[in-house]
Amino acid sequence: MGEQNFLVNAVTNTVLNRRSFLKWNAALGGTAVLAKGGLSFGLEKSDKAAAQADEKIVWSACLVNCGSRCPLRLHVRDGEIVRVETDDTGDAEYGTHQLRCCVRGRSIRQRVYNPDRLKYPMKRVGKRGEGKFERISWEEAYDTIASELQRIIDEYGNEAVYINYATGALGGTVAKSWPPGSSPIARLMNCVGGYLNHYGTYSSAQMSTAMPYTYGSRSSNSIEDIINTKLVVMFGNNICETSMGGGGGKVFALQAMKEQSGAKFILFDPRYSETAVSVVDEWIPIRPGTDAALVAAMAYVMITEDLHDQEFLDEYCVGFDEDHMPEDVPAGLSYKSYVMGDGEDGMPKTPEWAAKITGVPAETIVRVAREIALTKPCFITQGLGPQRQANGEQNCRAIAMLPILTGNVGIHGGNTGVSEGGYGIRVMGFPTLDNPVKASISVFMWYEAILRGAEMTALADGVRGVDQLPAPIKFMWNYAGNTIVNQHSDSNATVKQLEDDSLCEMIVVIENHMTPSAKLADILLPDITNFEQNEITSGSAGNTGYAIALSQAIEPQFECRPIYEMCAEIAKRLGVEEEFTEGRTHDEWLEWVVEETRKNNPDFPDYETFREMGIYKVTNPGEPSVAYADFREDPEANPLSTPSGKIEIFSKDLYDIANTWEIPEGDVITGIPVYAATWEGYEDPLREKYPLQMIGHHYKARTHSSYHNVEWLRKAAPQEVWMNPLDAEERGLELGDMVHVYNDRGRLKLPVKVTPRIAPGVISVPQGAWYEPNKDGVDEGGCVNTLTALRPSPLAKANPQHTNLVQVEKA
Amino acid sequence: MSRAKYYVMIIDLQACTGCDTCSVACKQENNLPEDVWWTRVITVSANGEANNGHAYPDVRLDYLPLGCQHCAEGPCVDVCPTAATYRHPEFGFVMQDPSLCIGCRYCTIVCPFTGVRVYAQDQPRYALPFPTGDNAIVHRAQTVEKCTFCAHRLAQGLEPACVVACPTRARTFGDLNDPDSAVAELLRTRAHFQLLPEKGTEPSVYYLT
Repeated sequence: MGEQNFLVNAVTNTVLNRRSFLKWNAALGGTAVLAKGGLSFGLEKSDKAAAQADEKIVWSACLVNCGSRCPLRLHVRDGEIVRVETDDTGDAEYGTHQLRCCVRGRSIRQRVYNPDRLKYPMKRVGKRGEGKFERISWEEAYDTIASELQRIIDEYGNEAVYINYATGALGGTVAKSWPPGSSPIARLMNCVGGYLNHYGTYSSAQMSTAMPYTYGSRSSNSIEDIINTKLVVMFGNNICETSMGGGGGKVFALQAMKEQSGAKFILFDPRYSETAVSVVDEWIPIRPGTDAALVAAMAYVMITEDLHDQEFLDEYCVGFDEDHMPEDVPAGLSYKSYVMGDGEDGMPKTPEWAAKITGVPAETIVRVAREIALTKPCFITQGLGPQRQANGEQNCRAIAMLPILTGNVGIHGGNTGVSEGGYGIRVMGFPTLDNPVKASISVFMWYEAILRGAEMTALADGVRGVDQLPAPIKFMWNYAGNTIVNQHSDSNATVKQLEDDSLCEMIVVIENHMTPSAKLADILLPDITNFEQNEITSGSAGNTGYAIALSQAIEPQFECRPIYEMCAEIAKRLGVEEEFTEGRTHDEWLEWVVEETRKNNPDFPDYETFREMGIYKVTNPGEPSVAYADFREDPEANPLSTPSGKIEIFSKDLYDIANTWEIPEGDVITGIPVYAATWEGYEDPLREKYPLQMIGHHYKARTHSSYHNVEWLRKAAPQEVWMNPLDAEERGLELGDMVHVYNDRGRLKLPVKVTPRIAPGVISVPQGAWYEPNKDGVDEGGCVNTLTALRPSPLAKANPQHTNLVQVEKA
Repeated sequence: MSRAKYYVMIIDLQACTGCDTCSVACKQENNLPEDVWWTRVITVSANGEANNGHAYPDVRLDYLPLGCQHCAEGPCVDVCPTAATYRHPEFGFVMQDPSLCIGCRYCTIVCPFTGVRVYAQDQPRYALPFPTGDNAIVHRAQTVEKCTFCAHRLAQGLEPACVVACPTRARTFGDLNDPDSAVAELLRTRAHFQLLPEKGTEPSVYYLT
């Protein structure tokens, strides 16, 4: 009874105001909820729902960018999707379980049948960004795009044409928005001389750039390997919210593995996330951007107490101590020297030192360091939050130091410190031909490339493939993405720059909805949703790989058309139609994809069977995968793909980069992962003016900015800024008060959620809400990127969107 | 009362991640108007207050999916003057018919649980321009609504919408009269509780701890 009393109390005595679904009556005992409604939207209802008319059920999927590709089964009647269900194959046992979609996939009809749906092609009238458009014909739209594209290629070269990062349709195969090189737009561009590519993602750029310097790749053990561990230590990892559907499989796997292994879970995170609520035994709040300091102090404890795995470090690693450094490097640059205070800064990284920076008490650092070192095996993992920082490359490499120091790499129940993987089925991609343009920029640098493209270089700006860009970006494709404004940084500055149409001369947006990014289009094309055509997707759900044959559920809405048709029509106008289509339709390409897949995987069903099945699942027949297991077994025979073939705690490549790149004042690139205090970090003197660190967590109501315009989800999880009671009290704020969150870049207006679920001195504005400036320039949509900075991180030149200083006051 | 089948809902609080998929699945199954929710997930902290009550950093929270508890001895049925609140003739759980409801809210007042019923004050307004789901109920202004254990789905041999929707399979539904059922097995093998047992209403919703 004792355990349950708190729940009982909650139901009788609580003001149930966590969720503002409804206006609650706070009186004790039985009280109803008062539902206030407005005018009727449409049909009053409801005899129709019970009628048994002709109804068909088609397989489909949710293809947004959460990492899952959850199966949906759509009930279609009279040309309308009347019901959304999910996977009904399999059972409740982990391994053969149903891949059930989450609340977002459940709500897809509000994306399909949305008042924001774009209905016909439009062109901008008036100033760019004003949001004034005029309806045009498809013919005019194609003609305009083709002639502008040709003009810009002739005038500036193909390097001036950019395909922007866009992940609203990344789960498709032909209708695929990311990576840019896999989209039909890439195929179109490659038929006419190519385009400027990008590397990295807004999700994981720092990690995918930095981690290979340590391991040669960013591999990890699969999540199901938690079954073999005793202790799980997570850094900023919130999979119970970011990819919470069954198609990602991680939540179900995490719970099953926790139950079966009995492992303890520890989480370092500034926020008590849904993952903390669901699976974590101990939450240790930490200040954003300070992970590397915490790790250094834990290393200090391990080294001084001789708890580290010296044999592993000697045999498998480079750079732990001065005896294992590359040649031609000065003394004092090893990790041990850094930790013990024998390095350049002379500062021992004691728990007391780290406590001041991280906010984690010194005794906690000592206790957890011992626990990690003495519990074998230990599964250490990180989400993508710690790396999305101004010092993100350092943070993610630092976190990987814990499994390295304790010899947990390459074994069952251990991990690499990198976010966990899963088992998948390989499905062939849509072929997009070769891009003749070799230049590429960091995903985050397109804004700079519009402004000063021809000045951008490899050494100063991370340009790859060429030493210097030949031209600025003059033409931008934006298919199924909201990263022109909403998901890029500093929305106000970005909009202001784009308003000048002498810089980027043409922006083509292909979208389902009138998003903040769509408002900046010159030509705006209405795309069909993936429920209005056939498609193929594949994904990984823990130990289960799957592929889904999406079948068209409904006719294209309004005048919307598929992306493949748009590209083919533009190809026709540029004289490359035959090259683009090779005589195939969208659906014939899907058949081709399945045929090609079957060449490598004869078990994969043929096209007709696949379409009939809807979903094809394969459970991992073997053991959970272990990253670098063969290297661990025999490092001589199976070296890593690092230059030394070993784990590079000290990377000579990074050391050389630090000595050759033009690195701005304050940016830190080092051979070993160190704690680097950054601009707008905890130690920045700017905190006197803007005392709060701001992060932007992923929110269950949205996948990035997808699903923002779904009314049910906005009710279930309202946009609000999370703040600790200490900070709220200081400002005289109470739960639900409207506040302004601001810094020099902009100002938001939204309600405050006062909660001990976030560390004092830190606030979080859930990322992805749509930018909606009022006439005074105050963003009433609550888009976190109104406040984030355009300055890239040092090595990956990527988005540091969790590094921000702000102030909050009552609105 | 004796019943042909004794349907119960079991919710595993270890599995619930607070994602609200059940809430939305219910909404679409029953074509619920805007601002009307028959099931929700509330956040409760270890000392029984709203989540602001517990001291940082010792935060211990749980999610509690909450809807009508379908009490075997609930007083709501007895007090309804129009028989809008009634027991399912076959299975005995608590039904609510808005077409008979006069909005007096006696049922709500005698219910020991806060917020499991909704009083729909205004004309229904919908997020979608057409009805969804299979529940033929007609929503009306100034009536009380609540969870019906998806009786219309049970009649088709289907489980309630929230049960089949849950991504982590936190919810299990079945017949407690059947000793071989999954629900009987769970109550035999897992620690569990009902809300407010001291009120003597014998809820049909059990929570696994």
